[in-house]
Amino acid sequence: MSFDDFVARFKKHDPAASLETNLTPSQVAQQSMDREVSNVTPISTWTRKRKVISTVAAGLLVAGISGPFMSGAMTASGPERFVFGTSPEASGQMRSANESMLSSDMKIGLPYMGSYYIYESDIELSTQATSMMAYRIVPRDDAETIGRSVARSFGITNLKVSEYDQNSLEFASDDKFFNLYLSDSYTSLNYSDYTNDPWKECYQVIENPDGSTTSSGRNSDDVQECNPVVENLPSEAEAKRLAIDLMNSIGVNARNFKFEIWSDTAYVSVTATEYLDGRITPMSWNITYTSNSEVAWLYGSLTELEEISEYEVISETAALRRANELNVTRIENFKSDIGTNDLIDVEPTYSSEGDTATNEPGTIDGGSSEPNPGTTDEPSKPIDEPTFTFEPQIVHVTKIELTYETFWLADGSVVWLPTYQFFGYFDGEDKNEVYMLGSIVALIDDAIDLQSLYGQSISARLLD
Amino acid sequence: MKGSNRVVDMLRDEAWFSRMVEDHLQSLYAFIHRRSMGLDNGLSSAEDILADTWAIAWQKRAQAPDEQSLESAWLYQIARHLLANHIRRTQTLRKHAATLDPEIVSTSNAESLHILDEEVKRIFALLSSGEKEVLALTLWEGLEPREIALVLNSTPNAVSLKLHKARKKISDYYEKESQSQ
Repeated sequence: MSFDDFVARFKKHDPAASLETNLTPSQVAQQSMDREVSNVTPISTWTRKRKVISTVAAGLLVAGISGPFMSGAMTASGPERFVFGTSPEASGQMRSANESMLSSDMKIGLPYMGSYYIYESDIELSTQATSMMAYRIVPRDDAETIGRSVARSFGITNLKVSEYDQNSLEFASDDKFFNLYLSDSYTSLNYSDYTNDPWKECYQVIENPDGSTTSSGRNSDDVQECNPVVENLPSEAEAKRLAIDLMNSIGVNARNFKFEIWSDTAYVSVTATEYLDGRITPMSWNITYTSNSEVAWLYGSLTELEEISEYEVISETAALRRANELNVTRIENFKSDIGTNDLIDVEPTYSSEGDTATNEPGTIDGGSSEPNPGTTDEPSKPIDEPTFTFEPQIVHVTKIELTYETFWLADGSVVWLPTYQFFGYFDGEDKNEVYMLGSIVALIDDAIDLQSLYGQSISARLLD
Repeated sequence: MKGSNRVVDMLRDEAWFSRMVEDHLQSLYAFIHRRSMGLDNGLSSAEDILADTWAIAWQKRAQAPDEQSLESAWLYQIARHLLANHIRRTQTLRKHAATLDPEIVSTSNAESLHILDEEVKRIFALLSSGEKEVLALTLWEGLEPREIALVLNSTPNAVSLKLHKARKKISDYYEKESQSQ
């Protein structure tokens, strides 16, 4: 097997390879020109709903858990109970995905069709409750001031500032470029310096028909064959020291970060992950050094935090129980709501031999898959209602870790709260294939409004 | 300012927009679908995001690239913002807050890509979020680094670095596999 084999298989399994929307271009164009973005009408009102069984199955597991937007202001000492909502910034505005806030080890595409998850621990879980600080992210609206400060850290003079959109500012000087995003109350920073790009010789300047030129990347297949010329690459230890100095100069306390270094013949890449009280947070920086220890690329976040208060945290055992109760309660609620849930639109399809529904096995049981000899002469007609079956899938938990993750509160503020992250593998699969399974809030029941979080009442039953 | 907007309106009129929709409707839909399969409502979400993307494209047509070959990248950029918003609005709260749904894993577009082939999925998981995104945009959307740079608000150089890293990680994986056999 080779990279080319990977490419072939990747392309072969494109889930959208043969997909086409039923919408016509003229319909889309007209509707788009008539619409106000701030008052978006779902496209489902334009057209008939689809009958896509796999999509329905995906929807089943998450249906009915979106929490209502509830009001609740935070006091100076922090709320007794956190009431959750969605960020007001999220509505109708374009914002950048703040990738620096993402956990790097999140895994993708795990199985979920027609099943729900029961978590069993392969390890002995602690029954010890504890307490942890909660933090509030302080909104920043001084992008230009921050940007000029960052520019000074890079020794950039003659800085040009141009507003990109309402959530970000672009800064540029000669071949250096960076921008700041203010979305989600974070202040994320992206920086690049073309002059330090080790692959800059690999790019071609293309002359456009109008006489202008464009710097174009070479075909991606050629990139590996283009050997960059690099001089005086820093050692990993030097790169770490430089990263610490740079972060400190930008105003980030590097002492709160743990560093990982990845190097190649052309660059040394430093990834710094922030820890608070010994717990990993969603915050990370990445700085890539090339020739003469110059920075080629950087991304990070200039988030400011303030302590809210210390809160009681449930034990690992209670966290596992809360996770299972969430999944089971959710499925039970869905089953009871299924007759009225307008998110689900299932139309059974029919075989050419009779009137038997032929839905996807294991996902939706639309009736017997065997033709009924007694009815084959009758004309095809829909069955009454498809019934939904769910099989529990066991997931083995091999590690639970207390971390911080981001939550949006009903009043629009953004906080970091203690969260249990679960790691493990799926029953019947390789134990060594350990996934980051997901996470669950770690505060005790009394400190969180579960209804606003899950759209339903569940409890970790701490007194069991 | 108003004058320049009028010029844009004249150049980027309804005929221009209709041509762009005609050219990019299906590829944009596929792009969004690949990234929304794991979301609640699946295709329904994809269609809503598709509609929002076109509506924003029309409203922000003054910002559309002059170069026609960059139109799809510009549309993907808009869709990517909307997908991120959608994921944050509807699922990140659950992920961060409470759920242990393995399919709800990240607000990153690349992380929500749905990959059917088990081995490809396993290898893909070795890559960072950025590397996944760049690789997917290259292989599934067929974009070149400068187009990907526009989608990701990055530079062609940074994109190529990520491609290089992804390619090396995958090649290293196969090399280790062959040595262990």
